[in-house]
Amino acid sequence: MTALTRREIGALVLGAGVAAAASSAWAKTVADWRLGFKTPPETLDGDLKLLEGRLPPELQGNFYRVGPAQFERAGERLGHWFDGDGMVQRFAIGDGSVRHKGRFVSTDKRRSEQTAGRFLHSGYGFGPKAAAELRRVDDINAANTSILPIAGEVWALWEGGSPWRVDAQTLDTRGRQAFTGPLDGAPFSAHPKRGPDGDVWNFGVLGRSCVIWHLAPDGAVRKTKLIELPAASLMHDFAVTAKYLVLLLPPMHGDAGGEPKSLVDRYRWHADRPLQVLVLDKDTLTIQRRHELPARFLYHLSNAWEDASGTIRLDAFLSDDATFAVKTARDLALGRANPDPTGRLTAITLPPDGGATLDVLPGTGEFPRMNPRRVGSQHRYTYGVIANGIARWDLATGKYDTFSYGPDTWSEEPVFTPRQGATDETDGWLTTTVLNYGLGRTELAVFDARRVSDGPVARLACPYALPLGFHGDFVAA
Amino acid sequence: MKYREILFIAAAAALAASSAAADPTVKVTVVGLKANQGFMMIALHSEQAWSGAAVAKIKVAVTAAAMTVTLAAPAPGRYGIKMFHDVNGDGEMATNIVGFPTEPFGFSNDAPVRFGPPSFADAGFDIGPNGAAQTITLR
Ligand SMILES: [Fe+2]
Repeated sequence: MTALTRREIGALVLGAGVAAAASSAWAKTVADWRLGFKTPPETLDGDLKLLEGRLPPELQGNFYRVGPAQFERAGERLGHWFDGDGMVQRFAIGDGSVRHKGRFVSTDKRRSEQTAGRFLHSGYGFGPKAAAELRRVDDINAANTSILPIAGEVWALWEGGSPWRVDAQTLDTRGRQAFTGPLDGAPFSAHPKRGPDGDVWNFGVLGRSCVIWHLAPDGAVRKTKLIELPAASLMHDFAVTAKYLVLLLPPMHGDAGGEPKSLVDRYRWHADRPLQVLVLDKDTLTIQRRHELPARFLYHLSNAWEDASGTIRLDAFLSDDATFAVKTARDLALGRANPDPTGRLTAITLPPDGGATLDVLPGTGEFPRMNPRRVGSQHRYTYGVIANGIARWDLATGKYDTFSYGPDTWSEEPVFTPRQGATDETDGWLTTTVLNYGLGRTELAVFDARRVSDGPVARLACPYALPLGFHGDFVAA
Repeated sequence: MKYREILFIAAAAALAASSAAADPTVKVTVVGLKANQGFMMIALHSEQAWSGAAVAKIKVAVTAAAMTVTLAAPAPGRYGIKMFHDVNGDGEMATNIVGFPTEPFGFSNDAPVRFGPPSFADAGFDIGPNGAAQTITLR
């Protein structure tokens, strides 16, 4: 363990190659991508400065994001990106100006580690030197993965623990969302889906146990069900259609054995096993159909819908294997390497007879988003992150439009906000952030969703750099 | 008559002497009780039946944040304790939908858990002829 840590420190100091040897450590103010993996101050408050263009007057509201932000304690470096304590970022957009506020989510995990002054918990992919016991999943819940605006507050979500409730204005942590009885501490994934009726659907996995959640718009539980998965698969996201829930189970299975140091170490990639698809009926929450796809890994889906014949269509970023979970996310946190995204947006067709076809779209990317009014119904466009920029994929033509911010940038998830009263799918804006590590700051960019390649209609600079985050959402004023 | 009384006294003395020689009990002090309601459910297990039936059980109404009770083992030996605070008093350890305890629990030696009960190797302790004492922190 200590040998490994020394090796990691060695790798950190020496860098991946000779060129990197000069930039010796984190703390050094070297303008490189590692800036996105630095622990920010406990609180951040600042006004953004307009760099170019003009904010659309109709785009008013709060843009929330969350991501890992605590990267070291007591000289120990966090070993996996997904284990950093969540910090919620809010960009308050209104009357031509933008104010930023950033606050950590005060989870049980964070408070216990603050008290101890060191990392205590073995989590998604990081096992600290002195790991404490694991009593419940929420012991390691970092509330760092996504944001669900609900009932006037925002929930900071993690892979499989409880939602953490955050005040929408002050960003103060209000506490763990107290689902009662058998739902107390039950896994609630970071990718709930809100349909056109405002209801929220989600899943949560622990081993082969999968909890299906159906919540009312205000977060009250309408229905839950425990289903048993055919395999303990590492599943991060899912999709809903008008009638169905669609679960994609990559062949990354929890059968590694041994003494796993963290959650992901329990899992093994099985290139000889299929990616299993389960289709559940939304009313009965029973499995209606099963499909098998070639062995692929995925984090995120964009959307799914079914046509009149019962064929389900969806699109997702598929990768050849789970390298990101077991290696890349560690390399990023430890400052070793920052490879370009490897996911290929893939249109997946699931006919009612149980077959499946895959159509791979151009480019590589991650963090797919689409017009939220189309959740569960037919969509044509998916937006996402590519290396140094964003892109819009047209599922009808198979083409994509791209925009690049240029070198020394790290682009983040584009969130679609429809224009009020819009009927056209592309009538709205993409609000997104980009770490401009060349200039040592995070920028906010707003795009017209119809003209991604034209570049942002407004770009503003934060007075500081924010750690790289995962997901966000826009709450229109 | 007198003879019988003498016999009786002798037998009682012998009994007393033998129980003084072997008193395999464990005094369990439970700390961290968060609510003065419900019951402490404490079970003493042998190594062979660590995940099976208890050799002794006790149910005590919770009236303070720290309480001490005594359990008797059938014989001196190595044992482990599993306990929980039955806050709602339904006699069962409440769990959530995926099986994690939602009522406070504890083990002898305060043995650490890793998404499941500790091993007997961590929770086992000796009860000698003169008994033993354990302090269990609920969590
Ligand atoms: Fe995600």
